[in-house]
Amino acid sequence: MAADTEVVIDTRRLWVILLSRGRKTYLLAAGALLYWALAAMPQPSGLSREGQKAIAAFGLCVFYWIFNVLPLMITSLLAIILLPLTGVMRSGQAYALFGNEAVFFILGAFILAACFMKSGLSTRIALTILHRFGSTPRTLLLTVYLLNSIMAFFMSEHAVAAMNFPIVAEMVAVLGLQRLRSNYARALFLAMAWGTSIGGIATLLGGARAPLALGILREATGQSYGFLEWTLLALPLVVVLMVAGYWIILWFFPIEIDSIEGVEQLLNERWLKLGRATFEERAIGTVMVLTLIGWVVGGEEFGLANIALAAVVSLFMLGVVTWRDIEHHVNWGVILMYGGAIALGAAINSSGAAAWLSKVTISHWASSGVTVVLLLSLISLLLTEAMSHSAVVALLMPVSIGVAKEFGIDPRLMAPVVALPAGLAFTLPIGTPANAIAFSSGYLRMRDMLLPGAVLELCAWVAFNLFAYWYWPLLGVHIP
Amino acid sequence: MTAVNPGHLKVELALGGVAVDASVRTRPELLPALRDARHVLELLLPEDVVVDAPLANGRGVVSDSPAPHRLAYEGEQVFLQREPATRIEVRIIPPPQFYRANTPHGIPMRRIGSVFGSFIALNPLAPASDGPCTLCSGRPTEYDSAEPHPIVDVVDTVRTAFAEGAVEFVLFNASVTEAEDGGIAALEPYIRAVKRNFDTFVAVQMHPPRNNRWVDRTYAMGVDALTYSVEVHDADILARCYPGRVAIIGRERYYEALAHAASIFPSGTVWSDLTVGIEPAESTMRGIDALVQAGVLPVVSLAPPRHGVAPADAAAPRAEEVAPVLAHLFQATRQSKVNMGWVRELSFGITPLEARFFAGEEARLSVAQQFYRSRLGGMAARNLARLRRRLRVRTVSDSFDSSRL
Repeated sequence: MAADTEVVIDTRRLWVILLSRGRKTYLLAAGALLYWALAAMPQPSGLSREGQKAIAAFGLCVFYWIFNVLPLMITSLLAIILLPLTGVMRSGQAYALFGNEAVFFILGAFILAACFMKSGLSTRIALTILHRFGSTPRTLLLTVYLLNSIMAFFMSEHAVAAMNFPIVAEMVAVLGLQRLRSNYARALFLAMAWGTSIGGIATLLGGARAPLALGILREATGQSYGFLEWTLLALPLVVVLMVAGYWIILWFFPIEIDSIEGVEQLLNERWLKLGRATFEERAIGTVMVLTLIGWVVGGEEFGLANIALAAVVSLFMLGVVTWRDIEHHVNWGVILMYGGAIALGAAINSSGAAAWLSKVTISHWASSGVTVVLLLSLISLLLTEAMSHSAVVALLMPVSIGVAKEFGIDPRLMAPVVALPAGLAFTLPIGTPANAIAFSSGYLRMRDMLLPGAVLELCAWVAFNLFAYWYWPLLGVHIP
Repeated sequence: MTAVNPGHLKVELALGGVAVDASVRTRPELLPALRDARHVLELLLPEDVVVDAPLANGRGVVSDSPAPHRLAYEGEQVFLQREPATRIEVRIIPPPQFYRANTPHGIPMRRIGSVFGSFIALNPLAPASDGPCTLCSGRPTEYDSAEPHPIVDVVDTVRTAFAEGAVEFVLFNASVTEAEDGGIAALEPYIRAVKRNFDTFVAVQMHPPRNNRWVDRTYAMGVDALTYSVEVHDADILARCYPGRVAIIGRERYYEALAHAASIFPSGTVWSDLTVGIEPAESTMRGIDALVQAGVLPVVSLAPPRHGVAPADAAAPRAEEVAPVLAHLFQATRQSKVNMGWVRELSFGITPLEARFFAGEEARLSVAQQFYRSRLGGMAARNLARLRRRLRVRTVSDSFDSSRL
């Protein structure tokens, strides 16, 4: 136990503690029971035996993902071993999916983001923008909001929120805003969280969910999206949600202060301390820009993953980073998560289970392509409040591809229908790391997130479906 | 052989001391016990009651008893004799052999650990001089220049003591300190080392830390039993006898810390000494009531204070004055349902369990208490303690979901 570790003694009755601490055991057993029930029930009509086993494995993993019984990546490992052991898929095929292109794309993106942060370039950009534009309470709020959003275009949401939270917290402290009483403090932290979440859906770089959705789509259909293509699909929605979110924040939390004089001084001091940009910062910035250009211009020809990894290699060739600098900043669990989720999705599709699942789920309630999109986006939006974004995608993508085939919808449509709403969690601290970080400030009560967040979610769902129906056809993505 | 109340006998011996007959002095195997530097004999009485009996012809006598017990040796057996017709079979507990051994660093083990009943008392940090400490007198403590003992030496001493069978438990004494933590942070490495190397209970005796988070850490680091000794309940007498405590820690802080500790440690493992004779018996009884109401196990100390107390306030009590206090000790503790089974076999004090002899209770233990005294029971108790700590202790980092993607 580290000397500075805070210790909490749980003084509840031991049997109460045992029950609460036994949660994992109970859930593990419940998941196993669910697997057994699904695998042992009489074979449904229209479903192959392999499909039934695939559904059992799918149900077990989804149960563990939903309740976070095991770390998400460990559940994915469970998926990998279940499929060969139950005869659904050959071992070689299951393990080969760890080499899926999407896995290496997001790995490359994570390494680039780690370099970006390690060099201090991200902090420099943040402070420069805040110092330049945040001169009044309203403009500071707007700057925090936009800064988090735009940074989330290029970095994972978690990284953006974690990086900017100390800056926002320090500004709030300098202003002397009262905990749980200051509207402006609430507005700032909520702007940080929402800006990050909304911006995170704009490109393939904002979170792991979009590349995962594309990985499952490619594995099932051979289709995918280019970097620019995805951005064009999402960006108008981002703009609308940013506007809506800003007005919702101001509506619920009117600004009560007139000056941010202390913050101006703080930002000025921090900005001056940065000094001149180093060679490492310039090199990493240049590589990042070139990489973005490469993704836009040559993503379809050369592959997103190849470009990402080429950028990573070039940074090491330039000597601006070392392996030790970044290895702790990369979420290595993503590789495991992706491999398992993609394998599970492939098994569901190849065994015919996806089609069967679609018939007994979405197809019961949907009557057309429009209603399919409405339902799937709503389900994705609701689930993401309580689950990891990637888990939502892993859960819904296999089923949605089956639904697409059932309704004669282009399967490509399902990736943004599932992945974009899966990134929009606004109401609960557990919905997304950005929300949790903002809530941990202690300036937000639960209801400060629930009600405004619910309003924004409703706006998001409506806006998403309007764009999907009216705007996406302009890009060649049609809802029949 | 005459039936005897061992509780009463313990009090009489502790207060009145014991004289040693010539027949004992002629036994070479008993001489080491007679040469104890404290001028005290550790005796095992009937019912496994242990007592430190001052030698009547040494400096340890604290009571002017007209007819102290005499220790005699006859027929391969040691007896206590008060009257010619009254002989009580007892056993002299010799100094443990490890006292004569040295640690890997050449330190006499006697300097690291002392045996009191079933405990080895360890003071691994720089011991204070024999003079009064800050918390007693209010004046700066004079420390010896000795460095803290190496952890390996402390562990080796404990291992040797256990191998000899001299003790069952470990008791750490924290050095007197004015630091916020009360000295527990400095003890932590030693406590963890003992817990890693031995399957044993660890107790700590110290003055309370300034805030309760250090009490929490004390439990979290592996301490199984804890004592913050109040010693004197009466506020005025405490202020007069121990001005440093009142000024630096405060009387109320002792009770607050004890109450908090009692809420997180198992019942009966947090105890506090009240020294009989310094204050009126009624005040000691009120102190007992205050402790049991907080869930703390009171222990009545019979040992005279080493320093800090004026002679007028340290008049040795008589056995008949102590008896009502001890009867109250047992009755109050039993009514409060504080577990009396854990703290036992303290040679320098009377535990509530031992106080049953003053309350007219039959001299027998409950089935559960007998079980936990057995080898199997001891093992079960230690494993339950580990499970309990594992369940109760959480760190803040546990609260965050680290697996979010």
